[in-house]
Amino acid sequence: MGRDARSSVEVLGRYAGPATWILSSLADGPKHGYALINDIEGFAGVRLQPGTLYAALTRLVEGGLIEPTGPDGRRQPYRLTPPGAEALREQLTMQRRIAELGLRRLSAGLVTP
Amino acid sequence: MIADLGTITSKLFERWGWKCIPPLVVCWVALWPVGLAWLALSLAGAYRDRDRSSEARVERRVARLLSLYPPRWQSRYGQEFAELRRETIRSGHGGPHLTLNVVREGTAAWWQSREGRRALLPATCWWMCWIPLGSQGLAPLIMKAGPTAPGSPPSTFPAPCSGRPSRSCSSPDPQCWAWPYAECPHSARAGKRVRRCRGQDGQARHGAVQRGPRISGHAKPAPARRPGYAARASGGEWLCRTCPLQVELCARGYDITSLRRRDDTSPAGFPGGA
Repeated sequence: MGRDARSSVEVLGRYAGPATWILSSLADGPKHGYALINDIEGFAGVRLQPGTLYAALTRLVEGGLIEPTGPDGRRQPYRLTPPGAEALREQLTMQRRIAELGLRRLSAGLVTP
Repeated sequence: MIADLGTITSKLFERWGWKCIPPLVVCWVALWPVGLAWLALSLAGAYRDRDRSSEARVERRVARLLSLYPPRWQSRYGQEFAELRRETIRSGHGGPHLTLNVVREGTAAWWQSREGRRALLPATCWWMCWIPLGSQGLAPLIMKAGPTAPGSPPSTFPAPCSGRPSRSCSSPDPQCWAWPYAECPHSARAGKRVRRCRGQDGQARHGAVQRGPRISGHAKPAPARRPGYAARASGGEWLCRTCPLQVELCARGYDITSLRRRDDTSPAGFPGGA
């Protein structure tokens, strides 16, 4: 399950980065598109353009990692599915492993700042 | 009421599929001035009737951007995506980046959709319809209408000759390659007039129109004719019919596109005596 879920994020190619941000944003509850953009800008410092956001959303919906909730007026909130939560956990764990390795090697002092 | 050209074309595609491409190509090659006028009139009508409030402008932009996506994608995500773009534009983030982003992602969505791959051939053919318009219509017209330096060779734009190859354009003279093959009759006459005047070497006299040398360079003497008199010369050339000023300039030895005498080599000549 874990390996499948992780690969379902990685196969998104150039949308893997936005997909991780979207899944992270949806981890604390359902959000619609504009709320996702603002939330991602808040924690990642990147303002996603609507086209990129919906391209990633489309792939995540097709992959079953997120799903739409009931419509909120003309907006459509999305929420994380259990496979999406698992995929996010695997993805972040892998990124943390890479980050810790990089920081450990930096702190070894082979490269002076 | 002039129907929108794009709507008619898309209806043709819906009804006939790729079978409508050959007649469309033929129509555009043969009747591009009519199509261009039609397009201009329909655009002018749409521009005149539209609402100019800021809300309406936002809605138009949202609809335009949404139309870049495949129909199936629009029906699934269109409403929420349109709402997101409304909010983005209202929040002041609707600059050119938004348009470029939507164009890029819309193209990617078309490319990945089955309907997009199926529409690739008709769309390619449709855009190829415009190649004759550019290569045989406006481009040579602009190049011919623009001034040329004295002594410089005429335009050699690779469009087929509009004259009859067996008579006036039998040689590979670059002047024969400068005018459209398919164009409206007036453009054809104007083109031949320009070509003829460029081909002249001052043999025509004031007050009379003479048949000039053939494009291939075989000049033959001909009796003088009245200005404005249209006649088909034996060499396959039409004499000037509608523009006495050009006839006059040609007769006085001026190049009518640069408005300079053919023997004038100064950098800024002007027909002061014409």
